[in-house]
This record gives sequence, structure tokens and C-alpha cells, in this order.
Amino acid sequence: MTSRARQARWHGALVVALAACLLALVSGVPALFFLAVVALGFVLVGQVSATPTADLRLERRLDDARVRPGQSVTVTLSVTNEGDEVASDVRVVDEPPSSVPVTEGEPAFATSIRPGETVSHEYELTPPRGEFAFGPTSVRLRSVPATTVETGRGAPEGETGFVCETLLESIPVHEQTIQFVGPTPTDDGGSGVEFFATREYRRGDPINRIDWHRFARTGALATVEYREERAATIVFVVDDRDDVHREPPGGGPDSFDLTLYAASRGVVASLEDGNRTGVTMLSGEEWVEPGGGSDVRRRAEDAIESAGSRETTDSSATESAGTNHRVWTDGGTPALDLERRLSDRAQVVFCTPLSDEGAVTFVETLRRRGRAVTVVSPDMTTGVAAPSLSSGARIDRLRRANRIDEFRGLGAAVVDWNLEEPLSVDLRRAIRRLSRRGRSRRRRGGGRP
Amino acid sequence: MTRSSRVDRRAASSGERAPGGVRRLPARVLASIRAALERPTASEVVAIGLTLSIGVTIGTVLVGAPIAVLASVAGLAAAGAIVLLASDRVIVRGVGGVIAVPVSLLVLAPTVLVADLVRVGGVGRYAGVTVWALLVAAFAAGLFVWTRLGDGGVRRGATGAVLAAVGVIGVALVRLVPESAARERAGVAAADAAGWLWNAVVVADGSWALVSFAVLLFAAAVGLRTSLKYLALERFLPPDRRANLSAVLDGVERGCDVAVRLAVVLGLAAVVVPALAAQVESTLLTPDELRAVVPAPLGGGLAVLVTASSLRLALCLGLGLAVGLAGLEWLRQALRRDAARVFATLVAPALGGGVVAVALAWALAEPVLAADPAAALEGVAPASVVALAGAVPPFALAAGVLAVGLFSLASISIAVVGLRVVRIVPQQAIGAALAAGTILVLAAGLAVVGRVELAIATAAGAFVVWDVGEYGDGIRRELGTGATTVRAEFVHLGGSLLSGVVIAGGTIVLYRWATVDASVTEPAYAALAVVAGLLAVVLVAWALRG
Repeated sequence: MTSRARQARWHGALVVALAACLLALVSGVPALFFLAVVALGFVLVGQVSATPTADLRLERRLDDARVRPGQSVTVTLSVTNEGDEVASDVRVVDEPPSSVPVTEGEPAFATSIRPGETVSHEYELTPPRGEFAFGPTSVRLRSVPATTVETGRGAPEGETGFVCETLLESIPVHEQTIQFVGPTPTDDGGSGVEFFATREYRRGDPINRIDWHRFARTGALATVEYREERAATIVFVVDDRDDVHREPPGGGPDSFDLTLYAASRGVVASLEDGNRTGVTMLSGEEWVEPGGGSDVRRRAEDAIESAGSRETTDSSATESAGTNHRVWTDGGTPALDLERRLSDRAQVVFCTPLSDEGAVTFVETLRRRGRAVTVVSPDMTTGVAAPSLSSGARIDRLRRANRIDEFRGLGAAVVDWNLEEPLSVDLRRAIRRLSRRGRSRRRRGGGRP
Repeated sequence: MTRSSRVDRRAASSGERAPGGVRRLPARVLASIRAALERPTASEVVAIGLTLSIGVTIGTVLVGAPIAVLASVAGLAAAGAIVLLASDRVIVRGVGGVIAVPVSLLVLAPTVLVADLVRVGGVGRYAGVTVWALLVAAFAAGLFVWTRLGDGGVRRGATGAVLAAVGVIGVALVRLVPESAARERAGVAAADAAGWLWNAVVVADGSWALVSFAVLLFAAAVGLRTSLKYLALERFLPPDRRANLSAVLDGVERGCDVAVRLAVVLGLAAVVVPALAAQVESTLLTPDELRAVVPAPLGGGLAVLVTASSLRLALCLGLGLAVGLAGLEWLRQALRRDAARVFATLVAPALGGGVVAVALAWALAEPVLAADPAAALEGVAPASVVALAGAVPPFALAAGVLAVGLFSLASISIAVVGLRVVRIVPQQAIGAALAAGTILVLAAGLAVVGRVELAIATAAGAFVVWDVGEYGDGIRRELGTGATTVRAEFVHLGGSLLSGVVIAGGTIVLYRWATVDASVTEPAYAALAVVAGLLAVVLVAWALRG
């Protein structure tokens, strides 16, 4: 679609010409006529300038069409002049998705292009979770005096959209062997049992665990004990309450996207470590029974995807109908509901933005019942696109820091996720801690920490 | 062409790094300066440079290099002071008041120097216009890329300058009140000044009658129309009865528009008709000459209308009522909004100006006393005012001079606002239009003093300034401050400069080819004027067809 227009840039010069003529007549100074001639000269140049015509080819390229939350997409727009004339003033305005902030550069530029030349321009987007499509790109040509304008809109060649996912299938799984025995089947043979200690033989001990070397040397029967390596049961709880999630100050994925992302990464890490892993939402909307294997992973993926899509629908409904508070009609609390579902030795990884006291109450209730809890929380005041913080955001950050201190006082581990750092390292470290805690409990004969 | 939201990462990082407390202020100031320096496009930088260089060059020809440079520096300083005085932050506004006082002296200095030159015969009377054109050109160059230019910023800056002047007058009064001689003479002088004002505005039957009536009519119509919009009287009535009042108010507003146009026509007629009509001998059209020029009974009726004291008094009362009601409404809104903040915003420039005025007035007391203002007012002002000037202490006189300077600073801003109100300058690229307009005034001055070729080149320069400045402003508005545009801008700049050189060269060749020392009253030149005017009208029609 192309439109042509003529811009009225020299009406003022016409007025000047008329005024100069009038002044020349009134004041009797003929020289003032020549000022009118100058003004009319510029008007004529503007009027006789040819309509710009150029054969331009526009192409859009992305460095990565599937990105993770917090990762930027570099968009490269290239304009090639395939005509025979110089395009003296080419203005290109790309239309990135409206909900995606531009974090580096501008999606617009102006340039001049010689025949056969290609001019490229880059800008950067930091998208929230979702699937996005670019709008049509506007190209505007002007003549050298900028009085004639031709505007066209259309889709450029190349990429038309991109995806920012938190789903499990989109997370690259690294090659990693399982270090300890667990319920998850593997392709490796052998017992994989680590030596722990020897003790005096007791009647009924398996014959293959008798230390025959010691018997040959001393004549005494002893039984070898191996380290019991068992997987922990870990349930990931995603804080999906309304009104607790925050938009980052500089745009990009919101705290719900990031908590879902943390949960999905945590599920992968936990399953890889051989733990029985489950997923649920704080509202109790989704429940994936702790287990291992690809089936659990698929169900966890479905649960997280379902929570993500429900949150999007809820937020649009909330915008039109006000805030939607979930109510536990049986008089219970989320923590008690969860307690009823969890097995005795299950541990909880709570993914929350820590923006209200409700998260503290939840963890406190679990801890008072002896439940091991780890809190994973994205710090929304950090990150690649965070501008200067408002007073309110700074107060919010202080409150969040106080809540982290409260958690540590309650004996809960906290993964304070700085968005400028990759989550995987901290998260995997936390999962390992949980696994070790589960094993040590088993050695002591069970019971909660 | 639409744009997406953008997050400025550099601003973000600098904002995060900014330390807390008092140390944050310099960081903010530096960030603001950096943002301001990054804001203009290459075209706008070139246009600012062209404006200042053309202004200084032509000013050097017309009034001499020192005064031209001084006027340009004063214009730039005035722009800086106005930007500070227009700030929404109380502290910045107070700093603006502090800076505005010495800047006001800078603004007055070239005018005083040129007046002295005119008195001794060093330059012609056009020099005064030249100095103010240079001031306004530099003022426009200073405000070229100010985001609030055209958005009420200049008006707010002018208000700040007036408030600073109020603070300075307060300082003068503090020194004046203990002087019994001055107090006694002040009453008589005030009565005489009020009488002079009454004669000038209400009685007015001399040569200024038509002009003063036009000004009064214009002010009353604009004031009434603005107040009616500001007051929104419909809200005082229930919804079912608002339609009738709205119709009445629409009628009043249309009447005000007609009155404004009538005032402009009368004002122009008062200035232009004496130059065109042979039977008019005075510089300004008087009521008697109006009767002679315009056929009866229209001429007689108009003369009676413009000299009717009752009508003038009614216009004054209407203007006063409109301003008073608007002031009360403003006060009501301010008290509802945040009275303390509004009070601080009002007091800050006055306080800043007053504090600096104390120091500057002490320093200026001796030079002002040496200048003998009473002698300067002799023959110009009423005798009582001259006597009062003789009785006023030098400190108070110096403070008065500072107040006059601040009013001059405010008048530059008010003139810009007025030009925008009557739509002589466009809605966008206001800085470029102002700069180009003032350079055209300089070109006209050169033509008047016989430097025609330089005048032609200057006029071409004025249009190049407009072209480049408007282009830069347009591309920034269309694509945003951070967009990469340099290459396209330089191509347009090259085209614009080439056009300017070709047009100026062609016009100079035409001038040399056709140059004759002839009067425009000769038939050939009159015909040329008519043809040029008709050509302009045809081009206007051609351009307006779309």
C-alpha cells in the first residue's frame, strides 16, 4: 500500500514574499523586492522537486527466533536499493510487537542509499513469555527538498515473529550422568554403591556383603556397609496468586514468567538428579504427583503450560473485572492444603516473587510442621533492562530483603535469583542440597529435619 | 508511522549508579546535560550554528562586533534562564531566579549600548531593532531543541521571570520604605502615573488613539476567550441546562474571534495607511485622519468608536474581570492540588531573584548614581516621577534597573508566546521559525541600509536555517531521538545549502542586472511589485491545493 503526498514546507516563505512586496511598497525600498525573489526561489525549488521513486527491498533477520525470558533478540533490518536512482531520504519504521519493549537502539532509522547498496540497522528487544509477530514495516521516501513524500507499508522479507518460551521442551538438557542411585532407571550397569564402613557380621547379612579379605586375614566375619544413596522427593510450588506478580521496571518478562521458568528449570535439574519430582501451583490448580521419568516430565510441562495460559487469561479478565482473589472455601490455607497432599519426606521448592507477606506465612506454616523448604525468587529490581528505580521499587526491594532474612531465620534455604546471572547454577546447587538433605535423613532413619 | 516503547539502557545504568542523598543532584544535572546534548539531530546542530554565525556576522555589519557578540551571548543566556525558570522543580526554579538577575543585565546591556550609539550618531535607529533581532535569534537558537518549546514552557519561564522581578522589586521597596522623602513623593508620582495611564488608555484621543484601541480590544478579546475556556462555566449548571449556556458561550467566543481580527486590522491600518495615503501626514493614523480617509458615515462612526471613553472603560473592566476570575479559578485549583507546593513554586524565583538582587544592587549603586536617572527622565516622565527618581536611594534605583532587566527578559518570552498565539510561528519547529524570522529581519535591515547583496545572502541563509532546522525537528519527531539519521540529514543539508547558494547567486545576478536607483512609485516597479505579489498568491493557491 503506497500513498503520495506533498508537504507544505514553504507556505511561510510565500507569506514572507508577500510581506516583503508590501513592505517594499510601503517603505519605498525597492531592494526589499529581492528578498521576495529569494523566498519565491525556495518555494519553486520545493514545488518542482520530483516525486521520489526507488525500488527498495526490505529484509528482517533475527539472531534467534526462540529465546528464553531475559534473553534479548537482535533484529536486523536491511534495505537494498535495487533501482537506478539514489534514494536520498529513506525512513524505515519497523513495528515490533506492542508488548515487547525495545531495550537497545531504535526500531526506526533514516538513511540515503545509492543504487545497488544495502544499508542495515540493528535494534534489540527483550520479550516476555509468549509468541510474538512483527507488524508491517513503514517505508517513507522523500525528495531532497523534503516536499514530496511517498509512504508504503508492508511485510519485509525474512523473519516475521519469534517465541519466548519457558516450557520444558524448549530447555536444552545437558549431557549428565546420574551420580547416585535413585529410582530413575538408567542405561548404565553395575551397582553404583559407594563404600561406607564395615561392621561386625550379624546373622542374616547377605553373603555377598561379607568382607572375605578380612576373614582370610583375621578369621573374623565382617559385613561391608555401603552408602545408601536414595533420591529425595521434591515438589515445586509455583506462586500463582493474583496481585503478587510484578512487571520489571524496564520491561521484559514479568515475575510470573520468571517463577514458571525457574520451576521448569528446577524440574529438569531435579529429574536429572534422579529425584522424585512433582509440580503444583499455590492455588492448587495443578498437581503433578512426584515421580520420575519422561512421563512426569511431560505432565510437569503440561501443568506449567496450563498455568501460564491461565494466568494470561486471568490477567486480561482482571483488567476488565477488577482484582480476582482466590478464596479457600473450606477455611484452609494453601500451606495446609499442600501439607495434606505431600508425603512425609517430600521437600518443597517454592518459586515466588516474594512481593507480599503471604509467601512468608506459607513458608512459616510449612516449616512449623517440619517441612524442608527452599525458596527460589527472582529479584525483579535486577536484570538487563532495569532503569533507575523509583522510591516505591526501592522500598519493595528492602521489604523483599527482609522477607529473605525471615526465611533464613525459619531455616528455609533461599535462592535469590539475580536476573543478570544464569539461574541454572544456583538452582542446581539448591537441588543438590535438597538431595543430600534427603539422603542424610534416610541415614538417620527418617523423620523430618 | 508508529513507534514501539523503548527502554533506555544507558539512562538506566546511569540512574542505578547514581549515588544517594545530596550527591545525587550533580549526577542528575550531568545526566540532564548529557541527555540534552544527545537530543538534537545533526541538522538542528547545523541550524543552531548557522543562526549564531549569521547573526554575529550581520550584527557586526549593522552595529559592530562587540554589541553583536554581546547580544548573541545575552540571547543564549536568556534561553538558559528561561529553561530553568520553567522547571517544575522548586529548587531548579529558585536557581533560575538567581541566574535570571545577572542575565537580565546582560539582556539590557546591548540595548543600552546601542541607545548610546544612536544618541551620539554612531549607528542608525534601525540598530535597536537589529539588537533585539540578534537577541531573539540567539534566544531561539538556545531553545531549538527544548522539549517544552511550544508546550507552555516559554510562558511558564516568562512567569518565572516576572516573579523574579517581583522579588527584586520587594528588595527595592524594603530599602525605599524607610526613606520619608521618597514615601512622600511616591504618592504624588503614583497619582500622576495613574493619570497618565488613564489618559493613554481611556481618554486617548491623540495620535495613538487607534493603536491603543486596537491593543485594548485585542487584549480584552483574548483575555475573555481564554478565561471562558479556563473557567468552563458549564460545570456550574445541571447537565440538562448546559446546552443553552454552551450555545451562548460559543457565541461569545466567536465574537471574541471577530474582535481579535478587527483589532489586528485596525492596528495594521493605523501603521500602514499613513504610508499609502497621501492625505495622511502623521506617522500613525489619527481619528481625524480616519474620518478623512474612510468615506462617511463609516469613517465618522469608526472614529467615534475608537475614541469612546465609555467603550474603552468597558473593555478595561471586561479584561480586568476576565483576568480576576481566571486568577480566582487558578487559586481554587492550586489550593485543591497542593497549596504548599504551589506556594513554593511561586516564591522560589522571587526568593532567588531577591537574594541575588541584594548583592548586585550594592555593586550597581554607584554606577547607577553616576548615570543620574532623574536627569535621563527629565522631559520624558511627569515631574513628580522625576522628583521621585531624585529622592530614591541608589540601592533601590539599582534594584529597579534589575527589575526592568527582568521585565525585558520576560518580554522576549512573552513576544515568542504572542507570535505563537497569533500563529505567526508554526506549531512545530518553533525554534527554526523564530531563528529564520529574526534573520529575515536582519536581512530587511541590510536592504534598508543599502547592503542589498548581503541582504539577499542573509535572506537565503534564513531560509536555509528554516529548511535545515525544520527537517531536523521533523525527523526527530518522526523517528525518535535515538534513531540513526545522520546520513539522510547530511544529504538534505547538502541539497539545502546548494539551493541556498544557487538562489542567492541567481538573485544577486538579477539584482546586478536590474539595478537602478529608482523609486517604487515608478510605474515599472509598481507593476513589478504587483506581478511578484500575484505570483506569490498563485503559488500559495498551488501549494494549498494539496
